[in-house]
Amino acid sequence: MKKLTIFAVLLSLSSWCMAVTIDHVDYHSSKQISVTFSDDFDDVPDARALVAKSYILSNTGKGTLAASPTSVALDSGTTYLMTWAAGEMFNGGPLTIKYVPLNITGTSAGTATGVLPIMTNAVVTGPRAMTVVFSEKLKDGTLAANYTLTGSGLGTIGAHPAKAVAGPCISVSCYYSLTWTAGEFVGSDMVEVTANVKDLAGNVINGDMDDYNANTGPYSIAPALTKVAVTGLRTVDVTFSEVMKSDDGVLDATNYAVSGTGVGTFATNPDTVTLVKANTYRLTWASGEMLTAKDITIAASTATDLVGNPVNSTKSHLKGGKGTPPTILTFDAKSPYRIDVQISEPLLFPTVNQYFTLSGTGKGSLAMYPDTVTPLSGNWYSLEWDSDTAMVGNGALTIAIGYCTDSVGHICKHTLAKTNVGFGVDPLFADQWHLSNTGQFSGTTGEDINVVPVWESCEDNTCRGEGIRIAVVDDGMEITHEDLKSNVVVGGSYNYLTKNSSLAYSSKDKWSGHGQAVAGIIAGRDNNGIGVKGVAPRASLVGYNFLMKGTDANGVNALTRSAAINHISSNSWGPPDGYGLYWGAPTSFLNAITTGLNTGRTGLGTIYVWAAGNGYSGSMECPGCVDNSNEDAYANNRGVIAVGAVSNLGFKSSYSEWGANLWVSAPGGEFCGDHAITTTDRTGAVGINIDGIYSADDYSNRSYTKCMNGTSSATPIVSGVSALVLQANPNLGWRDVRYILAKTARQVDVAGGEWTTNGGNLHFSHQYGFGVVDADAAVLMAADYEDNFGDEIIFPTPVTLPATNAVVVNEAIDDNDSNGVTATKSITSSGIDKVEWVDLVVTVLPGNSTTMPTYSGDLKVTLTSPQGTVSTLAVPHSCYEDVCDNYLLWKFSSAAFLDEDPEGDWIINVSDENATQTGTFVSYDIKIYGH
Amino acid sequence: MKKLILLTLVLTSVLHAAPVHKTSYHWYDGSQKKTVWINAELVGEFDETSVVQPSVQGAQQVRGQFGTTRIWRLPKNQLSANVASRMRQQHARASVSPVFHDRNTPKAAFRALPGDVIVVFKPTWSDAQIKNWLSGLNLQVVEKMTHEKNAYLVQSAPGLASIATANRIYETGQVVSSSPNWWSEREAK
Repeated sequence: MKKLTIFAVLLSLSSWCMAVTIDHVDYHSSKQISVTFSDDFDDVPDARALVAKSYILSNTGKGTLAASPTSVALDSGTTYLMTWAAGEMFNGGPLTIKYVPLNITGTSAGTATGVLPIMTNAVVTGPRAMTVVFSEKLKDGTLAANYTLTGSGLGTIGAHPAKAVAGPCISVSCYYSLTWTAGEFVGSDMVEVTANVKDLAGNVINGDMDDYNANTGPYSIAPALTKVAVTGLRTVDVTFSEVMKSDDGVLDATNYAVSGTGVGTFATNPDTVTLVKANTYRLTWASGEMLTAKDITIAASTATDLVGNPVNSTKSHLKGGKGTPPTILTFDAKSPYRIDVQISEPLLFPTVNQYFTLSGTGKGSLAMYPDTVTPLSGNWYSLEWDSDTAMVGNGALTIAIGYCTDSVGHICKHTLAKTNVGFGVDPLFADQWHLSNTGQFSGTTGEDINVVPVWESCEDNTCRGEGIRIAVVDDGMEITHEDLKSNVVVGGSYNYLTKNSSLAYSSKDKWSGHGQAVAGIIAGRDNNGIGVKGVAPRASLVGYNFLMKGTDANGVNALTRSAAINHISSNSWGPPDGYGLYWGAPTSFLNAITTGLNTGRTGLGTIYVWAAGNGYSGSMECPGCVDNSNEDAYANNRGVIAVGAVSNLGFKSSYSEWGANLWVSAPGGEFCGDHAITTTDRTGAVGINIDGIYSADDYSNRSYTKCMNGTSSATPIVSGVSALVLQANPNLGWRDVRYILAKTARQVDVAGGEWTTNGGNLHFSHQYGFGVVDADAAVLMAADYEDNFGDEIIFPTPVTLPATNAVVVNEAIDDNDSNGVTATKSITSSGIDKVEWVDLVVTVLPGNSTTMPTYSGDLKVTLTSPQGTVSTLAVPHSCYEDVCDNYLLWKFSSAAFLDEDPEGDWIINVSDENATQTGTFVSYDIKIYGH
Repeated sequence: MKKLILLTLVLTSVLHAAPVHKTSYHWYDGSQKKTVWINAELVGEFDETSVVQPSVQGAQQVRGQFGTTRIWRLPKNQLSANVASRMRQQHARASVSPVFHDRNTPKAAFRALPGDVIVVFKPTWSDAQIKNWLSGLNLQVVEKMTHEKNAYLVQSAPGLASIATANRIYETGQVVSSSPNWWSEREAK
C-alpha cells in the first residue's frame, strides 16, 4: 500500500512539472464555451482532453448547464470546444472549468451569456381567464403575483390573477394560464399584461418584452337575476349575480316589471326599490295585492353591473305570491241601527248585504243581515238595518264577513267581536245642553260648545279624543263607573291615600264625588246606551285624588305625574272662594307648572286647565265678598288656562269670577233647580246626589247628576275641547293650544260683557276672557295650524320674588279719589312682536294702619297698554271680616293684551276709591311674555 | 331628636303663657320668609280614622271635611300643640298637627302640617351626595319628587317639627329651598 501512494505522488509531481494550465476560457453561446490550455498536450499526450467527463463546469454563470458538456472537440491548437445539448448559462455570471485529469481549473474573464426569456403572446380566453406565452419555460411563471394587468379593459378583474398555472412548452412557446375568481373584464377592450419572471437559468425576462396587449374580446359577463323571493305582502326581493352599479338604474323602479299568475292587483312597476344587502334589492308596491301561492315573475332591465354591462334577466318565485283575504279591522256602531265596518281592503262587490252577518248580545232586534251596505272612503262600509229595529246599548257585537272576495279573488272569512260597543243612544245626552243646546231647560239654542260637528266630522277614530290622555286632578274618580270604565287607563291613576293605582272613593267617604263628575264631563263614554257623553268621549282618563290629602307634596306630584304621557291636566280646584282675599301659591306649585310646561308631552308642554273660581257671589261666611280670579295665584299663573263659567243662556254664571287672567269660558250652568251640567256621579246614592243633598230635580238613576256646576264644570269642558284640538294636531305646543282656544272662542253677551277690542284685534272681556270655547272652530284651526311662535320671550326677565326689577314709586294715593297714582313704564327693544301674557307685581301699603291691613279692598288697579287697551286687575271689594290683605308683592296677570305690540308706554294706575284709609303705591314690576 | 323635643317643650310653655292666635312662626317658601300664626284652639288630623275624637272629649269638627283631613276645635282648656303632641305620643302613627293661619286671625284659612319637608337641592348634587348630606343631619328621604330637579320629600314628624326641620335645613345655606309639606285648604270648585 505504501508503494502505490508514493507512485501517485511522483506522477502528480511529474505532471505539475510539465506546467500545463488552462490559459483562458471563452464563451461562444449560451451552450458552448472553449477552453484553451497553456501548452500542447503533445508533450504529454492525453486523449482525455477529448472526453466530456474530463471537464466539470461550475460558478454562477453555469445556469442550467450540466456539470460536464455533452461533447468536446478540438477546435485548434490547444483549444477545445465544449458543447451542451440542453440548458443554458446564467446571463452575467463567471464560469469556472476544471480539467479533471490534470486537476487544473480556469475561470472566464468575462460573464456568461444566457438567453433572456420573452413574452411572445397574451390572449384573453374567458370571462376570468387569459393565457400568456413565453419563449421558454419559466422558473417562477406560476407565481400569480408576478403578473400585473392594466388597461381600460381591466374592469373589475383584479390586477393580479388569483392563480397562474404552467401549461405545455411546445418548441419555443411555453404556455401559462392565468385565472381570476371574481370580477370581470370590460368587453372588447384592451388589457396589458406585464410579467416579472425568470427562466429556469434565472435569466430575468427581457425588459423590452415583458408585457403584451390583449383584447378582452367577448368575455364580459352581463348581470342576471339569480333569485326572486316574495318577502311580504307588498315586497319582493331580487338578487343579482353580481354587484350592481348604484347610480345606473338598479334603484329605478321602472327597470323592474312584475308579471306572472300571482301578480294580482300589483302595478307593473314597483313604487320603490331599496338596497337590502350586497346584490339584493327590495321592490315595494304601495298598493295592490298578490294572489296567494301563485307565481311572481320579475323582469329586470337597463340597470348595469359595475363595469357597465346591462341586465336583461327574468326570474320567478314559483307559487310565491302572498296575499291576504279581506279582514275586518274594526267596526263602530253609529246609531242604533247602523254599524260602520272597516275592512282591510276593498271588496269586489261592495254592496252585497249578505256578505255581512251580525250577532252578539248587543244585536237587539237587528236582523242577521243588514238591509243595505254603502261603501265609504277608507274601506269603510256602512251597514244599515231597518230603522224600526235597534241594537242594545253597551252590548257585545260580532260582525262576520263571508263569501265576498277582494279584487284579486281572495275569499273573505273573518269575524271580529267587540264588547261594550253596542250603540245605544246615551239617554242623558238630550239634557246635556252644554254639548248641544236645543233650548231645552229654557236655554238659548246654540249656547253650547259646538262640539257635535267635530264628532260627526270623521268616520274613523280620529275625532272623539282617541289617544289623548287627560289627568283629572281632583278628589278621586270611580274607575269602574259604567260610563267611564271604557275610557279609564288601567293602572294609570294614583290614589294618594293608598299609594297605588287602585283609585276609588273610600267606602267610608260617601260625600266626595267632585272628580267623578269632572271625569264624566271630559270623557263620559258615548253611544253605549247609558248615561252621558263627554266632550271627548273616547279620550283616556287617569285620576289623581290629591284633594283627598291636599298637601303641597301631593299637589306638585299630581301636576307632574306621568307628564310625558299625560296630555292634559284638568284642575277644578283651588283656594277657598268668596272671601275677597288673595291667595298665594307655594313656590313648589309654580315650579311644578314650569316643569310640566317644559317637559310634559316630551317637551311640547302639558296643557293645564284651571277653574277661574266661583267666588263672584261671595260665600256663606262672607256673602258680600266678591272674588276676582286675579287674586288666586293658581288661576292667574301664566302656565294655566283659567276658565270662567256661563249659563245655558250664554251669560256669565252668577258665581263665576271675573278677572283679567281669564282665558276662555265654558258652560258651568247655574244651580240644580235651573239645570246645571249633566254628568256622571258616583254609582248609587253617594257623591253629589247623596241622601240629604239629593235634589228632587236630579235623576232617579243616581249614578248620574244634573246638579254639577261651577267653574269646576267649565274647566273639564275646556280640557275635553283641548283633547279634540290635540287629536287634530298632536304637534301643538302648550302656547299653541292656548292661542287656538282664544282665537276661536265665541263672543257672548255682547251687550253686557264689557267687551273691548284690543290692539291685536281680539275681543276680550274681564267676565269671559276671549269668549266661550268653540270646539269645531278650534279643531278646524288646529288641523291647519301653521303659526310658529318660536321660543317664548320674557321681557325683561322672568318674575322672581321678591321682584328683582321692581320700579319704586313711593307715592301717596289720594283717599277716595278715582284719579289715583299713575306710573308709566316705557318698553323698548323687548324683542317681542306680539304679547301673549303680562304679569304685574304690585306693592301698595296702607299709610295709617299696618297692623290691620284692610286697605287693598279700597283699591282699583288698572294696566293700560301702549295700544290703549285697559285691563282692570283689581276693584274695590269687601273682604272676610273686613280684613283685606295688603298687596305686598302681589302678582296680577292679564290676558287682555294678546297679539298686541308691546313697545311703548305701559301705564299703571292705582286709585283708592273708598274713604277713610290711605296708603302708598310703593312699587311695581312688569313682565311681558310673547314672541 | 332631642332638639325637637326641646323645641316642643319651649313652644308649649310659650303657648301656655301667650294669648291664643298670637304665637307666630316663620318658614321659607323658596327664598321668601313667611309668617304663620298658630291657632291654639284647632288641630288638624289627616287620617281617615280619627284618634282625636275618641281621645279628646268635646272636640268638634269644624268647616266640614277636606278629603281625609279634619279640623277639630278643642275644648277651651286644651292647646293645640299639646294635643297634637299627646296624640302622637299615644298613637304611634297618628298624624295630628296644630292649625295655622297666614293672617293673625283665627278665621283665616287653615294650614296644618301632616309631616315631611320638601327640599330642593342644588342641581349639581348627586342622589348619593344628597342622601349622604341628609344622613349627616340624621334625616331620611321619603321619596324623590317629580316637580323639580333634585327635589326630595324628607321625613319629619307632623306638626311644629315639620317647620323646625324645614328651617333647620334651609338655614344651613346648602340647599335651594326647604319648606314644610303644608296641608292647606284647597277646595273643589
